[in-house]
Amino acid sequence: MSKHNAAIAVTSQSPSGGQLIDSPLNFRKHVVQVTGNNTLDMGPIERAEKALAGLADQFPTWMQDEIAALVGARAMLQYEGLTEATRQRIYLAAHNLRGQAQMMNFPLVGTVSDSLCNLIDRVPIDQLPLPIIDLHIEAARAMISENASGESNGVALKLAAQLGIASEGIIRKSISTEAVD
Amino acid sequence: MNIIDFSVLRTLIIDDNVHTRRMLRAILHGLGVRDIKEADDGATGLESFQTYSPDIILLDWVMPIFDGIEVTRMVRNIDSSPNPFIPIIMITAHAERHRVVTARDAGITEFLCKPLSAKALHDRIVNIVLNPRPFVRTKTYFGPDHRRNASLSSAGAKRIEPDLIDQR
Repeated sequence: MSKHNAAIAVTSQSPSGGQLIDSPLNFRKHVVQVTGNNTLDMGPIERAEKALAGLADQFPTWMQDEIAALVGARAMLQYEGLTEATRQRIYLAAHNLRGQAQMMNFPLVGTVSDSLCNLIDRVPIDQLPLPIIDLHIEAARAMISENASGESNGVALKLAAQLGIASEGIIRKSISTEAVD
Repeated sequence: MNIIDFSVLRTLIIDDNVHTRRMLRAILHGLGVRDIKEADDGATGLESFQTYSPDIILLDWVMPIFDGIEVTRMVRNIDSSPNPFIPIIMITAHAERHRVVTARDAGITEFLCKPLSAKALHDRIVNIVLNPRPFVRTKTYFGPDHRRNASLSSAGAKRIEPDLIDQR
């Protein structure tokens, strides 16, 4: 039995053995200082937003790093073939791009990488269409290299929308094939 | 006014992406957190969890070696973990409902969808500090009680009803 089993304070127990337990951790007494009314000090949020904004001039370079990782993962797939490992590597790179893009003011790259993640995640590996994967990667790469930030670039908007439609169509087809099988 | 002294919170960031770690560190510094450790994969993160004794873990989902779900399950293992009650904030680009449910069922405390924002992270930490959750232990689950979890509920997660606790 661990020290936690020994120290657990069970507050209620059901007939079948389920237990409700008070956490022994108490941050409140260590980190909260109450002065007057019950509002929350919002100063830390402002300081954190400022700290984050201070990184913004590095975002274009970081986006270049992220797309380089995705292009590299695609090159490995070309070299090693489509395996679970190469599929996972591409997914990881696309997922990272999806997570970063909107925050780094490349929302359309986020849309394209989200479409790519959905495709890789939901279509069986033996049905994954490499040309469509390549189109996604090339579109994201072009948006970043052309610095198509924001959502005002008409070509990028159209491209992102078309790739999303193509990806959804393939996913739907894959699901219906699976259902028939 | 409730003034939270974030400087006393030891925080462990487990994320394979260096840019996300940089952004999280910037936000945490802005909030006032001073004691921050980073790990770039799940295995290193678990090692740091053992040696660094953090107060809060900020955890990515998709990572090599051990992913965030596997890390959460190991941290919540009451027989082997040095601190199975530690708050875990899962930070991920996964926004689908089934993902939120999977994370909740593994034992995360809070779920934060990317894109990151200072306010969203601040609010999750404040919730952990001001409104600590009790824990639930059944035959198949050990982790925070999410029955009053507004953030997960608003993200579409199925609430754990009292009757279901014993069936998990």
